[in-house]
Amino acid sequence: MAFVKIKDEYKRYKMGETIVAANDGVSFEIEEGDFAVIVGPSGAGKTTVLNILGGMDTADEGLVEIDGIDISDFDSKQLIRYRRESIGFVFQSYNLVPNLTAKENVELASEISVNALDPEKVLQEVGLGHRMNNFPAQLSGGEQQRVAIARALAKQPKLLLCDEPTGALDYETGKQVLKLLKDTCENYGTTVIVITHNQAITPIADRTIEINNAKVRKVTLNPNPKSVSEIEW
Amino acid sequence: MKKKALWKDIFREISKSKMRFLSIFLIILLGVAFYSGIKATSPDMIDTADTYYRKQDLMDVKVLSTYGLTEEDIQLLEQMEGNSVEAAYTQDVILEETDLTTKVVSLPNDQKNDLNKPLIVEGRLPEKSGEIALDARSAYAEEYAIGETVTFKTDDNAVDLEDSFTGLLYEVVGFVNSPQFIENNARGNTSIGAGTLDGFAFIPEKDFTLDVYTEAYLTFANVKDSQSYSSEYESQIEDNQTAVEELLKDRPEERRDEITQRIQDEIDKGQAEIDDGLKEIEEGKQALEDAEAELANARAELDEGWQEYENGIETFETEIADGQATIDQKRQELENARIEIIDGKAELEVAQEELDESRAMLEQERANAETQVANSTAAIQNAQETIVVPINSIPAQQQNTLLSGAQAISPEMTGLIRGYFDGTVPAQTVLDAVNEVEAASAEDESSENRESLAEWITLARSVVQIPGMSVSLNTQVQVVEQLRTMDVQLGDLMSQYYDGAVPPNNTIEALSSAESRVNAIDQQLDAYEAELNAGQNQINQQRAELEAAETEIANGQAALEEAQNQLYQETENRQAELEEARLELEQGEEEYEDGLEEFETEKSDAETEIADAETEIAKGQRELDKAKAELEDITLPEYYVLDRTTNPGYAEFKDNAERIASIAQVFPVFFFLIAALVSLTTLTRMVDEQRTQIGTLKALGYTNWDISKKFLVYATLASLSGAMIGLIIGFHLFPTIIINAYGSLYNLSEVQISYYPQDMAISLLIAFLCTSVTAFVAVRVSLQSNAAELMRPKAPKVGKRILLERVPFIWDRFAFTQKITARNLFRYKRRMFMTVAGIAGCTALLLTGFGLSDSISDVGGLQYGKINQYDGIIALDTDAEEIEKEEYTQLIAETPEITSTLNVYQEIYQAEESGVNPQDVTLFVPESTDQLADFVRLNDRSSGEEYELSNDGAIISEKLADLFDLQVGDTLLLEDADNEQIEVTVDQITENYLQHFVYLTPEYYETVVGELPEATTQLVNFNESASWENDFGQELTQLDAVLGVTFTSVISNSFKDTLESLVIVTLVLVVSAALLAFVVLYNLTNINVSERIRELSTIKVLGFYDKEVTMYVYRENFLLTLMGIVVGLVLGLILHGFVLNTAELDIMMFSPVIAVSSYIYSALLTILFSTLVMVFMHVKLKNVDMLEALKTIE
Repeated sequence: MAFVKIKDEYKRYKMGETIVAANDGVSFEIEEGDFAVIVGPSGAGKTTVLNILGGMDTADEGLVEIDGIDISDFDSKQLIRYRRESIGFVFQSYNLVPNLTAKENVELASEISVNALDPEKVLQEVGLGHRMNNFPAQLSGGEQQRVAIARALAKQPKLLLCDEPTGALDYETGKQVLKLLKDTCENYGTTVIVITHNQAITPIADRTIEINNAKVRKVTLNPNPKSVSEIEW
Repeated sequence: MKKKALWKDIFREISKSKMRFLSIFLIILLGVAFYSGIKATSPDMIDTADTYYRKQDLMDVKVLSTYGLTEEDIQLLEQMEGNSVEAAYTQDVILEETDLTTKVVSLPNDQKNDLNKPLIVEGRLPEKSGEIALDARSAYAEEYAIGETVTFKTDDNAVDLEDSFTGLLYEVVGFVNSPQFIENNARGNTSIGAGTLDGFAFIPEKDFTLDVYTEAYLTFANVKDSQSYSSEYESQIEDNQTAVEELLKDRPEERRDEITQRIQDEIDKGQAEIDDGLKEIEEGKQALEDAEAELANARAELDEGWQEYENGIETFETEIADGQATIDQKRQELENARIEIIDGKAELEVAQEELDESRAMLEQERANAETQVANSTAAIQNAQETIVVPINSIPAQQQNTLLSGAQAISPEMTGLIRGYFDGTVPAQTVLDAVNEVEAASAEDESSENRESLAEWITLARSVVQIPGMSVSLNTQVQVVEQLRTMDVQLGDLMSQYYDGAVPPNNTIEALSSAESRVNAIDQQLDAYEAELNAGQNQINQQRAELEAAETEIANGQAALEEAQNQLYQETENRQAELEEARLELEQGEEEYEDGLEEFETEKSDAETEIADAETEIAKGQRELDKAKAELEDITLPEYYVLDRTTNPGYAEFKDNAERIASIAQVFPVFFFLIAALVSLTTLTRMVDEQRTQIGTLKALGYTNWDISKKFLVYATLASLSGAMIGLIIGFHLFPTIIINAYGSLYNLSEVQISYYPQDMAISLLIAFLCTSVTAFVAVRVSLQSNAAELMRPKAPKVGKRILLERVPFIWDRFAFTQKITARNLFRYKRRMFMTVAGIAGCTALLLTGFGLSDSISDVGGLQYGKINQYDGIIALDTDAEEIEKEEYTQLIAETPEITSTLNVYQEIYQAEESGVNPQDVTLFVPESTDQLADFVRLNDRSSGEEYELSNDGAIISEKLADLFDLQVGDTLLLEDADNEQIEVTVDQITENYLQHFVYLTPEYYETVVGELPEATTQLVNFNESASWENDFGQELTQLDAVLGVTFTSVISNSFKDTLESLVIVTLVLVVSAALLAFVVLYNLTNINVSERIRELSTIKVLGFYDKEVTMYVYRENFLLTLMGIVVGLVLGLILHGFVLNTAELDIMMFSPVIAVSSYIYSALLTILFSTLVMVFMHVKLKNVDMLEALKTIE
């Protein structure tokens, strides 16, 4: 039984007079503990899939099942609860609260989560034990993204959703972040879904879902994923 | 170059940020509307009043005189150039139906009515006699309807309304307002009723029959162009008053002479009338006495008649009783006789019976006896027939032969033979004797004679034979038997006879005896019968007698009956007679009663009449005395030239307008300030947000002016449109609301709205400054950076540790969210400051509004509840007669409801000093200071320390001290109406809110003035209802010693009414402030949220519930609100003090204390708005598109 199961999912947007389908019958499955990469060009609809998976948006049609629960017809409150308890987000632009220190940003998440991890410990694990009391503005991009990952992890989410996590980072830092994500997946057994337009990342994934033009084009299972250090782009 | 794209961008910007545009628009609108509206209210009020006065031609001045105004007065007034004069009659009456005390005013006959035109509210003005138009006040309009009748009466004994009016009944034809009486709740004072006028009424002039006019109204051409209440108007009127006074200066003397003459005439006439009256009374009394005497006579006669009647009855009864007794006695006697007769009759019957029995027996016996007699008679006759006497039967020779023979024998034989012959000797004896002789002869043979003897013996034997020998035996036996049946002896005798043993004589004798005996029996029976007959006769006689007696009784009875009848008849007659007498007496009595009654009625009538006449005469006398006294002390008539301020409400209206004007000086400015502040913040924020775009435009090569234009146009459009609409709303809404609020207090015509260019200009300027200029400056500041710098997003504000974090023991105690809040608060210091300032401003406005309401409404309660403790003040006429004063004292003494009284000398003085408006000051000198605390409380306002009057100086009221800058120990110069100056030392300064008071002890007064004061007023305390007050007031005003009565409750109420309108004004302030508070809070929160939308989206994504998201922002806002409230309350207190200072009038001090509740209300309202805004924000945040906000910045 798949941990994440999307079946015949549709999402349409009204653009003026015409209706544009962002997701046009998307179906795929991801197993628990998978490091999955959803890859596709800009505007392919991958962010829409992520948003729907993350409970930030709802599908117009179709089944969205996470850990056996169909969230496709959750109401707004159920979705919040779902986000709060089951999902960790990592954004391209970090979205840290500038007025809070690294630790406080993590706390922001751990405060509201039931089985939260100790913020300090999480920060140490992402390698920021020494920058805990720094404000985001005092941190580099990679560090900020690591704070963001720590903030996502602190909640011990069932699903870690990362939207172009390396998009704003340089190559090295990007790799470090990817490694961190991969390690998280391996160490904690967290299911991680990374969205990227960068095909180069796909080799490290257990599962690659290619989306193009609002449809899933290909799902590739990789029984022997490469480590982050092995890939280049 | 058209730069179409730029303009497009501008308008797109507006439609994109509708809320911001709208909030700038609204804030400016509110600010401008409030500023211009409140500013315009006061002049609009004055204008409204002025327009009304002009339309109704309100007089500028009215002239009154203590003795009324004559035609000469009016003519004199008309001489003045440029003025119009109208004379009017007025008379205060009480309306019978409703007890409303009403001032009746005349409307000129010609319907011209140039001055003081009534404004018709309903119906029409009176046109013909007997019609009336009433005050449109609800007291009248609710009680009377058009077509109903009003009746005038008065409680003033000195006034006869018949002298004032042609009639006392009027038909209501309309309801009117009068420009003279603009104040709804006060119509002025009067000397009748409870002393307060309830309203006015108009009737045609011809219905007045007063000798003199009461009032003359004047208007002046020289003030036609000045607005009422303006200083120009007031000073011109003052000059006019002086001119009129000058014109009238000779009139008092002239008038006095006229009046003196008239009163003297009246006195003369009155005296004559009184004399006549007295005479008439005497006559009347005499007539009454006569009638009384006549009546007494009649009574005596009647009594006599009654006595006679009583006697008559007595006599009558005695006589009747006697008569009846006699009759009864007679009747008894008759009855007795009747009984006797009956007895006699009975006896008679018995006797009759006996008689009849006897007669029967007699008859029986007679029958027996007759048989016996017949038998016996027969037997006797038979026997007698058988008896023969020998003499008769023997022939005489034989006899002689024998006899001679016997003689020869012996004598004896001769005797025997003679006896025989006579029948006395039985035949046997003779024969025996013969035998013997024979025998004897035989023996003797010798004898000579023997042959003669034996011849003789044979002859003797032949002649003397035995009787039986000649009678057959049968006869013998028959006779003997018969006799024997009759009588045995007789039978025996007979038988012996027969045997010859007995001589016939004996037998005859015996027979005759028996015969006579038989005859005797008959005789005896006859005697018996005779006896019986005699008895019968007796009975018959007795019967006759009885019958006679019966007849007699019958006669007696008849006589008795007649007597009885007669008695009855007589009784009846006498009774009838008596009855007649009685009837006659009763009639007499009735007549007497009628007479008496008539007399009593007439007497009481006459007495009433006499009493009335006497009262009238007494009254006449009093009046005469009064007139005489009046004549003696006829004062010089006083002429009063009064301006409009004597119209109730006229001056107050100005005070109210000025009060609003004072409020308008501070309050709206502050209001505007806040509006400006907020729009400034909003626009600065807008420029910040548009930073990138500014940079882009700059990079594209647009000039600074072009770039600024967008913001200028945006801001100007928002603010100017807001300002324009605000001006329209403000100029219309606020004056309308406020003047209408005063509408319940003043009846004025339509609200006059004007646009005031100065306020418009100021409003627009400030609006422009706060928005357009701000925007322009902000853009210019931004534009100083180069394009590249601008295009880069402004780095988010670096997070910083705040000071608080350095105090670990506080910081560590904070929950995570509290830490965030604390840090956020201090991160955006400017926003924090703006928010606090905005909220503080609104709270301050609210507090000022509530505080004004407190201060204003407290005044009444404090002045009339705390300071003036007395319940009523009675103004006394110090010139009244002793008896009148006594009357007053008695009334007060006999009114148990009054708990205490205090005599006080009160006099108005004036305090003057350069730089300060001259002030009327009431000098208050209580008769004794012991009880003063029961009537007036003297104390320090803030400490509450109570003061007592001392002989060292005066206690003066607080406002007076403030105005003249007096401290304890200073001296105050006062001047009375006669310009006499006195100096008093300030001993203490006491709490007081209305008017100025200087309290002195009598001793200190004496020291200062030089004489002891005489009480001009009496303060009274009681604990009674308003209706009691009303009654008591009516009683008081009827007294000559009382000039007027004022009840604290009444002034307190009317004062409260006045101030209640101000409360509405403050309500307007509060509502405006509240609106502003809402818009400000909304705007500031909106800015806060839009600035941090990314942060908020992040936490939303993190899974914060909507509530938590709202609270994330609102925790700060709430804190800011609280801070704002605290600052605002302090600010409000200052603002309130400031507004009070400017709004206060010289004669009034507002209570500077704001009630705790007002603080609470202000704070709560602010919190309420904050919460409301939070709800708005909550909804807004809930709908924030977090995905959009989190989109990676390109």
